[in-house]
Amino acid sequence: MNKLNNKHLLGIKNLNYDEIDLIFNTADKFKEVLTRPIKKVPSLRHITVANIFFENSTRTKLSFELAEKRLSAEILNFSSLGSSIKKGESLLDTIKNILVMKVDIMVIRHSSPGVPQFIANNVNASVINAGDGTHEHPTQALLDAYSIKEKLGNIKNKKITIIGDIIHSRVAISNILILKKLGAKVMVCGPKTLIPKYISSLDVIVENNIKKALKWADVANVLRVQLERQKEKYFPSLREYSLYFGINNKLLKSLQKDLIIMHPGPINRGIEISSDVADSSSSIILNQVENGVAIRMAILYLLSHNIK
Amino acid sequence: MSLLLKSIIVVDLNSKYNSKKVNILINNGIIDKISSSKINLKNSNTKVIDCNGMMVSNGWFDFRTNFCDPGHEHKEDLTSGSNLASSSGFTDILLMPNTNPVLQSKNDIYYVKNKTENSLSTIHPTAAITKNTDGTQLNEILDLNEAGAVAFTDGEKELQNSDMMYKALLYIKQFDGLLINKPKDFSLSRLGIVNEGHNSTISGLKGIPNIAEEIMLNRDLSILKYSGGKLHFSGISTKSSVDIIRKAKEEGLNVTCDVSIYNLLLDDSHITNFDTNYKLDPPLRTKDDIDALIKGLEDGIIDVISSYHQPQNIENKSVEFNNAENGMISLQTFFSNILILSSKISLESLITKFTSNPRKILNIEDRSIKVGSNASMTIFDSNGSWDYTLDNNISKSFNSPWLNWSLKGKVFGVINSKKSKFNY
Repeated sequence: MNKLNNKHLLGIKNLNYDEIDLIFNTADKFKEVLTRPIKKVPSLRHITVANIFFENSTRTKLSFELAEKRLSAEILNFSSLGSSIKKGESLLDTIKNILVMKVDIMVIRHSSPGVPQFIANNVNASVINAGDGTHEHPTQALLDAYSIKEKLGNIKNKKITIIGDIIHSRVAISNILILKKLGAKVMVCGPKTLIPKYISSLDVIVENNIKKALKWADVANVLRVQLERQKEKYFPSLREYSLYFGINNKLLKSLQKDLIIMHPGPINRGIEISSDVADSSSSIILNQVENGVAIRMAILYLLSHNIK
Repeated sequence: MSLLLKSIIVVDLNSKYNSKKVNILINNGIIDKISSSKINLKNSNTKVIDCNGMMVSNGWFDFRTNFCDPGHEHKEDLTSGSNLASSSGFTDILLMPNTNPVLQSKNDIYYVKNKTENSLSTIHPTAAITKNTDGTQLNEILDLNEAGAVAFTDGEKELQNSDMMYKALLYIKQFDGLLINKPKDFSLSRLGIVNEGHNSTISGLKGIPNIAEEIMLNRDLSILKYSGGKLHFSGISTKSSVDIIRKAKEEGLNVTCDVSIYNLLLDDSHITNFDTNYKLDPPLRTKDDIDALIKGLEDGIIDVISSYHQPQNIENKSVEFNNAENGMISLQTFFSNILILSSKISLESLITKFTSNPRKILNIEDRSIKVGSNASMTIFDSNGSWDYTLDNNISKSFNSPWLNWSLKGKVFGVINSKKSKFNY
């Protein structure tokens, strides 16, 4: 197998085991490229990629842009916090205007679930979902799983707990889907109000006690409390949240075991995770960021095979 | 007008000719003769229609339609809507008041009546129960009743305020009127757009929990018990809702309900592709809910099947799922959808849910097929099939998930008193 089945990467739900494996193997090769003095290959010389971000992003956007540059693609950047909508232009018109500039791949981030799918249904370009509301964030999940595999050797039967604001998290959904596909045991942990009622239909364990969750786990993926996505109050205060669901060194020490700590960023330091934990040797937060470039290079490269 | 329908099978549980193949003679809008043997014509101008292989029922009555006029005529208007209704087999339409401005003064009611006076289908306007459907002040209900509003409802808006619900029921009781409410608790559902469940979880779309509907049903029933009056719930969609209404009916409360045709056929797995034609209110629920709703129909707990015809222009549908408007157009495909259901419930019993039952609830003259009745008939062929395409779509809008489907069941014609129309 040397190419993906679909023209788009819209979600982990559309990938099978072999495709995930192919992306990981391809990322291994690109990771090697990134250690060379000249960190660039000409693979996407003939390809134009548009990074279309309708929602704020720092690391995902930089990571995509760097991946595209390392592959020698032509890049078009577009950021708009719904500004064209405010001017009265529909999303589809905005996208079609960008598309006529002969764009081959569109990297899309939007606050509304399903927007990459909607765009993919309406344009000819390949679409990569860079995060759509509370739906999916497939490249983040791929780099998270890749980072776990890199650290632990493999993922099958490993215990991974995802902690925090599950209900507002596209990272959680994509992570659950990929980790289950790779054979891991997955637990979600957080205040009951931040856990979707039907999450167990995804075959995950639900836990509300953080200490129990950490005791059980090999890896803890700590999510950002999505304050910006909470249109109503889900818990009483950040103080209470950090006291009962935040991870700090004292808590980690009390477990008397090794635990890998991950976080998709950006971190609310002192809320879901304390600085001493984020910067500790258990943390692979920065490896995640580094692997993000290789994973995104792999996806761009593999999708470019499907462009005629 | 003189019409002879030859060799047609009657499907009307209230008629002694039910299931029989007969000839029906209609003179000046009245059923003159029904006979299984040949009818000799005295009038040479009688139009003779060979209906061999077709069926006739009491004219169809839709209990929940939006024609968007005035205010949103680009989606549908009273003329296009009336034409759509009669072409789709409906002799009667209960019109929701959610126009702009909303139907809430006698002028608004006259506007609807005048504009549809010559339509084949009778358009029965409802009026908003509260000013601008904002749930805070009663409209002039006695005056609206006098002007011809046949029921009172805030339509697509749910009556949230309990005191307003109480007063509305009491006030309408003065003339034995009907209050229609769509049961949905706003605080539990305000950000929700799809059914809460497995599919909302994996699609990241905010869910509407079942209890948003069920809490409202329970509240309204408690109020009904206290105030008396006549209450109809529009668009029940969950398994527990059926149980709640079953219990209320057993207690003898004056309550009826309807279900949308789409809630009987489609489940919420359709939302996972983010097709906005499936963004609906009430939302698509689960297979379990569908089974319970069908059982509720069989048991007579659910009185009516309604189309929930809600036209939307493409600019409101071809957008982000979160931003799309609710609803689908559904009059033209209604009968084909009913035929899908007829594999589970007999067609003749399904037909009562959009013929005699709505008329009974609204106290409108029963027009079952008997000699001397005012003719109100729909003639249809349950074996015929057709392709539903943009070209033959009659509505001004085309927000239907059934577009480009091959569908079974054709409407052959409708007769409403002296008016008739045949699609051939």
